[in-house]
Amino acid sequence: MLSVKDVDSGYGNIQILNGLSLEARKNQLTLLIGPNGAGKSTLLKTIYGFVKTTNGTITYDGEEISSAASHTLVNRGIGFLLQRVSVFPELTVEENLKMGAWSFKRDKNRIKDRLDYMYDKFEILKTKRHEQAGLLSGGQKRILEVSRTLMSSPRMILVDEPSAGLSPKIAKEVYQVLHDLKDEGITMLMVDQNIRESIRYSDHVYVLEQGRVSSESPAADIKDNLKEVVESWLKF
Amino acid sequence: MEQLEKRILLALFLIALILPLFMDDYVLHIIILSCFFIMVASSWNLLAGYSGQVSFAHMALCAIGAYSSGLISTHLNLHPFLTIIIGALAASFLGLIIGVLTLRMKGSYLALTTIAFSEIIRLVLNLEYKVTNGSVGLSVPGLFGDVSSKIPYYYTALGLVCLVVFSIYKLVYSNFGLTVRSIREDETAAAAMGVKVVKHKVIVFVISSFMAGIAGGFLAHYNMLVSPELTTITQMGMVIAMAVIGGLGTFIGPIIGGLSLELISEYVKEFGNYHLMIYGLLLILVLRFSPRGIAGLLKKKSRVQNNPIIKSKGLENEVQK
Repeated sequence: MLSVKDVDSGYGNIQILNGLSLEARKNQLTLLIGPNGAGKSTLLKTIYGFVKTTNGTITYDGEEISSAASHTLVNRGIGFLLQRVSVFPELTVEENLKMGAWSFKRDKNRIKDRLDYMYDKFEILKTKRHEQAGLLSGGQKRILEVSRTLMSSPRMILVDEPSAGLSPKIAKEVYQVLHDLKDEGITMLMVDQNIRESIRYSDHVYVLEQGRVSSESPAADIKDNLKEVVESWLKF
Repeated sequence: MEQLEKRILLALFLIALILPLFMDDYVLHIIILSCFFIMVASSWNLLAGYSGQVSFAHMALCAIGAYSSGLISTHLNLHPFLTIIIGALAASFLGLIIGVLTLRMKGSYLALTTIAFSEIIRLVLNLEYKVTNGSVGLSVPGLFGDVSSKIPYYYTALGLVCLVVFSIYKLVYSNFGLTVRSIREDETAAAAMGVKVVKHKVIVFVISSFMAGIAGGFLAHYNMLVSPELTTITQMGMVIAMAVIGGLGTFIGPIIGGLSLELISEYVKEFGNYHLMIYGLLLILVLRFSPRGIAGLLKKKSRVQNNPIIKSKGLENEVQK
């Protein structure tokens, strides 16, 4: 579904990705792990057009999307769940959700349908829909971010550290939500430091080191030797 | 917009409509100047309060509108009603240029660049005396010719304020306004939703510059004089104080701020520049105790009083403390 081939990218003169290649398969959750500075988040930002590719190609459903602007990617059915808390704090929960439907902002019926769907799916958002998003708890904010990303009915979501800053209990709930999304047919490419938990929900794992893929395997294969994988990062 | 804001606006509008029946020319003059400041502060609030772009070039753009309108009406003999619009277009064109030049700047970088632009405009207006008449100021025709009565100017100012404020209301509470507010909150998250951040920021710059230009053009043809004084940092500071004290990022804030601070400044005028000290003190107090200004306080009061739980327990006064 999404293919990254020999991609170089970085910030100014600092190159972060060095000829990185990988593939995110349809209806699967592909997990990217690796030590800090390996280029995991940079890869997601590069795919989403926030960081420019200097070399290589990124294709989605067979069409090249290298360095395409984010609005083009939203229209093509790709969403991005950012790493940090990114709700619009002074907007209400409903306004946040409406922003997720920005790509079809004039289609009021479709927006209403999507809002109803989200409120059915996440009761808490319905209860708090007129409250400012900044007043929600950490877990509720994450749920709002997920729902906001889902408003545009994406077929693929780039997920950056979904459990960052969340308590283990809330993190588990968020993983469950993501797992359910996969069951609904949404493809995911996810970066996560919480490997032990996230690997349980993943199908395929890529290990990134120094801006390139150092190994890959089905998640089932890596689950049993997680300790060795993490220990190998300490060499860097 | 909340009910309380609507009620305040309606009350102000109704009072303003009948004010000339009871008040003398001096009071009308103060209200006309307040209308000018409400227009400038509201349009600056659209830029800084709603889209998060703190620009110090707003009064310079206002001056561009004033000078353009004044010069065109003088040299081409066109009616000021037409030249005010042309002046506003000139201001919005310059706003477009600044918007494009500063489109990736934020915070102090944007502030410094716009201060530099403002200073350039002030120097050009002072130095190009053959065109602008320098620091003496440029005499321009009155909006209503030689009519000395304040009443036509008063109702024109009121009409323009209504037009500007209503346009801002429609913008802020539209999809465009929601988009702009989301950019203020988190540019990256907005971009992740597919928002064309740069385009929206530039559009807001252009719209607010147009409004500042309208205000400037009106002031020029009301005073029948326009001088580089309009572009000083003191004037810009007054506009910022009005928006912040009234309530930055609130709809009614700049209206309350523009009206109340202009009234205060008229009544403390006899103390010379001390009125600026009063502005400064007010600004410090507001930022310390109510960062959302007077409008923020009103909103808080209204929410507490309308909260059914607080109401049922009779805790309104406790919560407000």
